[in-house]
Amino acid sequence: MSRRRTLTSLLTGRTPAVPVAICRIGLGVAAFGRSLKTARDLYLIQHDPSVVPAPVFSFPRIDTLPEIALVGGLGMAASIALTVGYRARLSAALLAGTITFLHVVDYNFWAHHVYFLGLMLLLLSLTESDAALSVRAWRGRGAPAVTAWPVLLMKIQLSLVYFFTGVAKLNPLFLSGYVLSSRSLLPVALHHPIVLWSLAGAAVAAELFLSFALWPSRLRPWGMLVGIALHVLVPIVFGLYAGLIVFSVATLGVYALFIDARDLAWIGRLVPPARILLAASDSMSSEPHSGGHRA
Amino acid sequence: MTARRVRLVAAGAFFCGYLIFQVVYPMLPWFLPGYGKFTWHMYAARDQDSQFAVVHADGSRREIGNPLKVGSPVRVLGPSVDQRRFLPPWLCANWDGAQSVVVRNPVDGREVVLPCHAVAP
Repeated sequence: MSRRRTLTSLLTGRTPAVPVAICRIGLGVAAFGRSLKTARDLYLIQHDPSVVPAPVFSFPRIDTLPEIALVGGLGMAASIALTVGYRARLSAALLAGTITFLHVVDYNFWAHHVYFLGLMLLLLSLTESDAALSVRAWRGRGAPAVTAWPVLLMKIQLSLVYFFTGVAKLNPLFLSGYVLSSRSLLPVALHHPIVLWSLAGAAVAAELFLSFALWPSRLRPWGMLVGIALHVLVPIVFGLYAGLIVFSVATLGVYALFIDARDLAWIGRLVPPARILLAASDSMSSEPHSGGHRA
Repeated sequence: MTARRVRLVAAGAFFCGYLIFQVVYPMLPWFLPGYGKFTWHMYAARDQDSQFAVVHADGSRREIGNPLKVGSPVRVLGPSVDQRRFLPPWLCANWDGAQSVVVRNPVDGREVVLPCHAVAP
């Protein structure tokens, strides 16, 4: 009986709207970048003779320019709507649907960052992410708190990604520094075995640390610091590829979900503009805008 | 059953189902080496960047390298494309004068020669 009550309270719980809104904006920006790349890749697969198509099935295919424009345009429009908080649930669901669809079109769209983004957008579509810092809030239909369980799943998902990726790297080839020497842009002077072993070990340690460090409030600042450093450094070390940038932006957006009320106060003290933004958002979430409409 | 209760049950089923899937499924590669679809192994050296080369009728050989690398004359756009499955038939069909495709493992240097008549698309 008590287990049932715990599950019920978990499913009916609420969480502050502002961190979810920040996450929504991060995912919206990441989805926009990904939509641009999707449109470009769809074009290249059909029109660049040096690109190898890898169809999953013989159908569906996206061959013609209008089809490419439709998929790319839909993605970009939904990303912009999600970023500004206009019909965020519908936009997130559309983007998650587009990503799912692309997975049956061509293996060239199968990538970890696409899958991660798709999962995050699916979960985001299950909560009211536009309750703050959004067009909806500006119109006076915001709310100070939103459904918590999808947000909890997003946080758990991020931790699982770090955990499984860290464990996958515990193999002799990665730990030898092979990946860093063969795929990174590290200067040749740094290709000394000791440097490569150290960097490989540090990467695994960072990912395993991040799989739990964002949860306890005492470790969270360190977790955030390590995570931000990791996601800024990885695109620099491996090259500024769209996929890496999209993954970093999406991941750092999800970091916002770990921020609690104490962290918000701390951030407000540290960064005055953030305090003004949060105060404005709070007032918009609780009071209808003078020119807006109530739901 | 009220609408609220239906919503709660649906949310509970989704929550538990999602969590179980995302905890259990990515463990598959621990028991099925080589399996990696929809699991998390970014830059974990699971794929060893096979190197490709085309051999022409006169025996000359043109190195293609890895199609994910900058500078390769042939490209794939995603890291999850099974290069050993898709690249040889594509090279045989599109590369002028290709008679066979050589796939080399960069770690141990072993090569596999795939004659084009055997890998027709």
